[in-house]
Amino acid sequence: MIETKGLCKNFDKSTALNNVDVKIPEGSVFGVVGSNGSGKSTLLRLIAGVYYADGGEILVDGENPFNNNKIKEEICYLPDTPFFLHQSNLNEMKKFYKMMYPKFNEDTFNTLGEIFKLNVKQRISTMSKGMQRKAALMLSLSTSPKYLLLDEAFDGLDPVMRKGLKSIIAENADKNLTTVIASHNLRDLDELCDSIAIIHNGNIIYCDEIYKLKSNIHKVQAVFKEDIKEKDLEGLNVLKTEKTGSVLSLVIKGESSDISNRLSALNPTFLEIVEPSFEEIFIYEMEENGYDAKEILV
Amino acid sequence: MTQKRSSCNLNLDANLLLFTIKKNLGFSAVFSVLVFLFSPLYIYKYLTDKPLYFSTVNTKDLFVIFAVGMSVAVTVFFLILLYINFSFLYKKSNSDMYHSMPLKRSELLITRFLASYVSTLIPLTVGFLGFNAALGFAGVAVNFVFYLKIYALIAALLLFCGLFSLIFVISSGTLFDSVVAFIAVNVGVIIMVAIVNTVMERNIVGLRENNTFIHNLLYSTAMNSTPFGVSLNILATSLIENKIVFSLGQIIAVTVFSAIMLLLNIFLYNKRKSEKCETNFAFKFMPVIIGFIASFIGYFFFNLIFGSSVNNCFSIFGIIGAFVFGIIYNIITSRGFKQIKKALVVSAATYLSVLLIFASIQVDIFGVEKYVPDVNNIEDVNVRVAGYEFYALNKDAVVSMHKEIINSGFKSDENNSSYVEICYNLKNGKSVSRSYIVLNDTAKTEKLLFLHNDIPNNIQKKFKVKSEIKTFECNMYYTNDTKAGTEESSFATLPRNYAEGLLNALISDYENIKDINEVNGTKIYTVYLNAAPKNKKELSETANAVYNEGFNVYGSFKNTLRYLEKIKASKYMVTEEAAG
Repeated sequence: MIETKGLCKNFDKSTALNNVDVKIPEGSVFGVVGSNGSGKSTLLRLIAGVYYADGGEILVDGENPFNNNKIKEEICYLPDTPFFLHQSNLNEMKKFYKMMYPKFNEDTFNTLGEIFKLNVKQRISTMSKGMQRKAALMLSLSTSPKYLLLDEAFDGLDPVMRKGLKSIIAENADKNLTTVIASHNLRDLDELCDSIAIIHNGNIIYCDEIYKLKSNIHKVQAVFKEDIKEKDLEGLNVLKTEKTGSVLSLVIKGESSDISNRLSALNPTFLEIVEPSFEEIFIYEMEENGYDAKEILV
Repeated sequence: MTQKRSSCNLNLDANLLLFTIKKNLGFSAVFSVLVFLFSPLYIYKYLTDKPLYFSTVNTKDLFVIFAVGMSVAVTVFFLILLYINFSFLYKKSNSDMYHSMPLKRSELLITRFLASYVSTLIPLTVGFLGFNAALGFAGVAVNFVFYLKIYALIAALLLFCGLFSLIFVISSGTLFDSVVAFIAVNVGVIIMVAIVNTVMERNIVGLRENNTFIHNLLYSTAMNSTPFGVSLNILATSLIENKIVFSLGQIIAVTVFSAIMLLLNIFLYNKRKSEKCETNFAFKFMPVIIGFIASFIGYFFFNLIFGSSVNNCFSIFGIIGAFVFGIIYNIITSRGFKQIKKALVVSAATYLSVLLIFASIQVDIFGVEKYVPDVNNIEDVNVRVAGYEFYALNKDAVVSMHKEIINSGFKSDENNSSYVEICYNLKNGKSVSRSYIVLNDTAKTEKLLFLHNDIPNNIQKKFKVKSEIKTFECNMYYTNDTKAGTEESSFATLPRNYAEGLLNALISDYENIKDINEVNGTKIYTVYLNAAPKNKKELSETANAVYNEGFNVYGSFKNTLRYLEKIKASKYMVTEEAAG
C-alpha cells in the first residue's frame, strides 16, 4: 500500500504539495488528475523516491522510499520524458534494467516487444515519440514491479496502443500490480481507474473511489412554468446554473434521489437527471476551487 | 527468475561498475591510442633518429617531460570522464530515472567515480608501458622500478585530485556552472593565497620583502593551496630528485584529506535535491564561496591597477573592484541580473573580510613577526649574514640571537647594519625563514654562531672516518698578510698528514671554547679543508659542500696555532703572485 500523511513539498518559495493525504490500496488503479502545475508529477516523484518530502510522511509498504533500495525494487517509475542511455537500443536498455531490477522478466520483455512491434536493435533516439513511449513502457512492465507509476502514460500513444495499454494495466491489476497514473486524459482514466485524486494548487480536492465522485455530482435539465428563484433552490449544493430559453441546466452535488425529490416539488414540466462525464466533473470541481476557463480566456 | 543484487558492504554495485567501465571503454581506447601516438611512439622515433654524435641519451629529462605531460593529460581525461559519468545530474529526465532506480545514492556515487578512475588508469598504464617499451626497443636502459613508483604516485594523486573535483560536479546544477566553479576555486584560491602572502610580506617584518605578486603566485605556498598544486609539487620534486619524495606526513595528510572529501561527497550527494537539476547550484555554499573569491580578487586587481598601493585596505578602487567582480560573476552564473542583491551582499561581506584580514596582518594577530621556533623542534638552522652562509650552527645560539633581534624592535642603522637571513629546517619537514636588517652588534654573528656550537661533531660527521677519505687537502690563507686594497694573501697547501693533524687540532680547540669572549676578534688564518671520498658514487652525489669546509682560526685557537708552528706551516706559504 502507498500512503501519505500530511505530505508537503516545496520548491524554493513555492509550495508544490500541501498537506496531502492519500491512500492507494494494493492492486488498484489509481488516477491523479489536476490542473497544470498542481503537483501531480511531484506526488509521483515522491512516491518513486526521487524527491524527499519537506514535511509529512510517505510510506510504501510501511517504509519511506527515498534512498531505499528494497522498496525501490518494487517500484517502477516512468516519467513524462522517458530516459534512455545515450545512443542505446532496446537490447542495451534491457541489459541496464536487468542489472538494476532483480525481478526483470525477459519473457515479458520479449512478449511486449512482439505486441508493441519494436525493433530491439534499432537505436531508440531514432524512434518516434510514440515508439519511444512504447519502449519505455516495455522496459517498465518487464521489471515486474509491484507499483507502477506512470506520468502522462497515454501521451503520444495512438488509440489502439492506448487500448492495449489499458488492457495490460487492467490485467496486471488482477495480479496485484498497483498502478498510479497521472494524466490529463480523463476519458482513459475514467475507463481504467478505481480511485482518483484531484489536486489543485498542491491541495487534494477529492480522493476516493471514482464511482463515489460520479454519484455525487449530477447534471439536471428542467423546464418550469414560472421562473425559479434562488431561495427555491436553497438546501441544494448547486455548482452551476445556466438557462437556455426555457430550459434550466443545473449542476448539483448530492444524492440523486434528494435532488429529484426537491426539484419535483417545484412542479417542473420537464425534469431529467443525467450523469456528467468525468471531464465535466473535473471542470466543475476545478471551477468550485477557482480554476475557471473564463479566467483564462482573454 | 529473480537475480541477486551484486552490492557489497562497501556500497559498490559491481555490475554497474563494470557496465560503466564498458561504456567508457571507447573513450579510454581512443585516448590510449592518442597517448601512445604522441608519447611512446614519438619517443621511440626520437631515440632512434638521434644524431650519431650523441653518445648518450638523457633519459631522466625525457622521463620528466613524459611523466609531467602524462599526468596533466590523464588528469584532464579523468575530469572529462567524471563529467560524462555524472552528466545525469544535469538533466531532469536522466536525474529522475537514476534516482528512481533501486540504487542507493552512495552506491551510485562511488560506482560512477570508481568507473571513471579505472577508465583513466587504462591510458595511464598504456602510456607507461609504452614508454618503457619505447626505451627498451631503442636500446636505452630502463629504470623500471622508479618508473613504476612514479606510475603508482600519479595513480594515487589522481584519486586525491578526483575526489576534490567531484565536489564541484555534485554541488552544481549544470555543466557550465560546474566548470566555472571548478576553475574559479582552483585558480582563484591560488591567486588569493598569493595576494595574502604578498600583503603579509609588505607588512610583517621578517618576511621577505622583495617578492612580487607574480613571484609569490608561481613560487610560494600559493601553488600548494589546492590538491592539484600539491600533487604537481610532489610529482615534480620526485622527478627532479629521482626518487619518490612523499613524506609520511604528506601521505597521512593526503589520505586524510581524500577520506574527508569522499565522506563530504557522499554527504552532499545524499542531501542533493533532485529538483536542483538544471538550476545553477544544488547548494547555497558554492555560489557564496565563488562570489567571495571573485570579489576578493576584484578588490586587489582594481587596487593594483588604479590604486596607490596593493595593500591599501581603504582604497575606493578596491571597493569598486570587489563589487564589480562580484556582480560580473553573478551575471555569468545567473545568466542575467536576477540575483544582483545577493551579489551585492556577498561583495560587501567580502570587503569586510578583506578589512578583517588586513587588520589581522597589521596587528600580527597570528604572531608571525614575533615567531621563533622552539629549539626542540629545529632539525638544523642556517644563517646568512651579509651574503656569507653559515651551516651547522648552534641552535640555541641562533634562537637567542633571533629573539634579541625581535626584542630590539628590529633596530637598524644605515652605516652599521647587516642583512641577516635565518632559515630553520624543522623536524616536521617544514622550513621557516626570516630576514632582517639589524645592527651589527645585535647580530653578533661571527662570535655568536661559533659559541657552544656543534662544529666538532659536524666536522667529524662531514669528514667521517679517515679510511673513507681518498685525498685530503688543506689550503690556508694567512689573513694578516693580505695586501692593503687587494684580496691577495699568502696561502699554503699542506700535505695530507698535516691536514689530518690540523683537523684534529681544530676539533680540540672548538671543544674547548666555553665562552664567547674566548673567540677573539682577530682572525689569523682561514683554513679550507677539502676531502675526496674513495667511493665514486658518493662523489657524484655530494658535489658541493659535504667534503669542503672553511674555518677561521682565531687567536684563542691555541692547539691549532701550536700545531701550525710545530709543522712550520709558514715554510709552505707562498704568495698568490708567486704561485702564479
